[in-house]
Amino acid sequence: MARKISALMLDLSGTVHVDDCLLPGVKEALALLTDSSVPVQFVTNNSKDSMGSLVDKLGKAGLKVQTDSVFTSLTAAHDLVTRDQLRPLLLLEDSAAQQFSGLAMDSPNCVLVGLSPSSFHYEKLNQAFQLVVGGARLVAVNKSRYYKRGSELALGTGAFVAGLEFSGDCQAEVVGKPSKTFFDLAVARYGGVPAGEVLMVGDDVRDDVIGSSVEVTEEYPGNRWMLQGPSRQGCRGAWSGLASTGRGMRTSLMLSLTLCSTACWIWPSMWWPGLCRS
Amino acid sequence: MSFNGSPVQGVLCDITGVLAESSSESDGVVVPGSIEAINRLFEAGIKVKFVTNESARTRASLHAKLTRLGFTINIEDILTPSLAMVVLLKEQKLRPHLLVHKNVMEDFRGVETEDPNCVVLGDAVDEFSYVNLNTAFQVLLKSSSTQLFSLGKGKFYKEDSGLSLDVGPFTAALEFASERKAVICGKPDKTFFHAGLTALGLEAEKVVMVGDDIVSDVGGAQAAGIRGVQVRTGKFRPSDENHPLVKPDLIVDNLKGLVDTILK
Repeated sequence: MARKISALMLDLSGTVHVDDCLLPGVKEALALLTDSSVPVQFVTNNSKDSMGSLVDKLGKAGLKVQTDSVFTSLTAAHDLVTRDQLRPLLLLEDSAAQQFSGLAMDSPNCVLVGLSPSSFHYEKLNQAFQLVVGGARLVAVNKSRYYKRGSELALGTGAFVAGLEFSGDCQAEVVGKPSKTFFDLAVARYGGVPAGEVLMVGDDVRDDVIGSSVEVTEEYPGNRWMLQGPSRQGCRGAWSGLASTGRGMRTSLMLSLTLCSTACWIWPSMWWPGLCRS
Repeated sequence: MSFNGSPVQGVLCDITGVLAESSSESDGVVVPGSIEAINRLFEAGIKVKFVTNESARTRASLHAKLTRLGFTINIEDILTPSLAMVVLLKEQKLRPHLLVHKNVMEDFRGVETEDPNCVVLGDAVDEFSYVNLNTAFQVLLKSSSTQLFSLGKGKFYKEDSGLSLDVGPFTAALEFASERKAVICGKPDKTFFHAGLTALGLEAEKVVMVGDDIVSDVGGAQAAGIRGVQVRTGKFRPSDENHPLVKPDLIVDNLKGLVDTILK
């Protein structure tokens, strides 16, 4: 029983690259996907970097991507705001706020909270609280407790969202991975492709796999998932397995990922009707 | 002197929202009938202690304000969270990192603050900057047993015509980030109400608590075995008439309404 895959979502850090290094085989795999006209979105929770600087970072690592193929938790927030016609009070740093320029923000009916130390002070938080208690929707880019800043851990978005939830007696809608909203909005960008035909590939079992509700234990003939324990071998040429299939080989396209940081193997093998040669 | 059939020998009385409405500009506005109501309680021989979660002023400053507004009360009859906190710090030999309103810093004079081994959060208002909150967070990160204390955990208070954030959301923020629960020194914490009963020299059954915060004042008092009375002044909202969690022993328009009932 073949499972049709019409589009792909790929996590970035730990899946496509680790820091400034592209993982081996990634370039070839992506070229294969492009040649097969399989659309790919790069999905990431990274909201600290602006879209431009994220694309630059990947460029320096040797991967050229279009801005509109990168879907971040900020992109998800933007899509939610436009989908639901929200007028947000932004608690975002300037570089992130740029993604929202041009949207109506007068008489806000929504508070959008991202990683924004310059917004996390009494006056701005009070302004946000007064909107929330007056019925505005509270939307959070993510709920991280803290983040690494130089040598220390600094208070994250989640701390201030928790504060607003406490005083506003409400629950924030989180748009970052692994929320359903994130994946729903990413799939919506494929304009009509059903979620069941989209494959999500990532290194974080909680944020990427479970978040996208990809089945990890079901077995299809010729379509296997294996989740194994940690490997010591770190970065291996798993992507090279992909490169070697080439276009002349039949049956399956092996997409495999080696995950350096979490050292967790996910081996899916799928049927790609478009690539099968009889 | 009783209500609901039980005698009332003492009253724990909230200040803001019961005696007077808060204001950021001035001393506030006396709730009509409150001055006379307090005087009538004294004349009837009922003991009164004023319990407040106010953590942005010293007891002396609160007393001066109430005197200016026309109330006649003794300074020792006012119980604040910072005063209760200092007792606790000395008992447990703790050295606090203080993120509190600058006005209450003098309540902590004499408390060692070098090389802090705990964090005390109060209603710091504009001192709640990202830098200051992050510094407090770093102290908590020293060890998983570093305690976070909070002078009350109010969600908000009513000021002039709007609601303003109280200390609670900042406590919630540090609790979330550091994955630990704060010890609350103030309403609705039982310890604070017991301190009030000790000050009155009365058992819970003989005392009534009157306040405007249904969860913090009324619910907190009831959890400490004290009858809780809700006033329709201060931060009262119509939805409090049917609160999902707290059923006050009595709801009155204001403090005068309670005293009328007690002295009937």
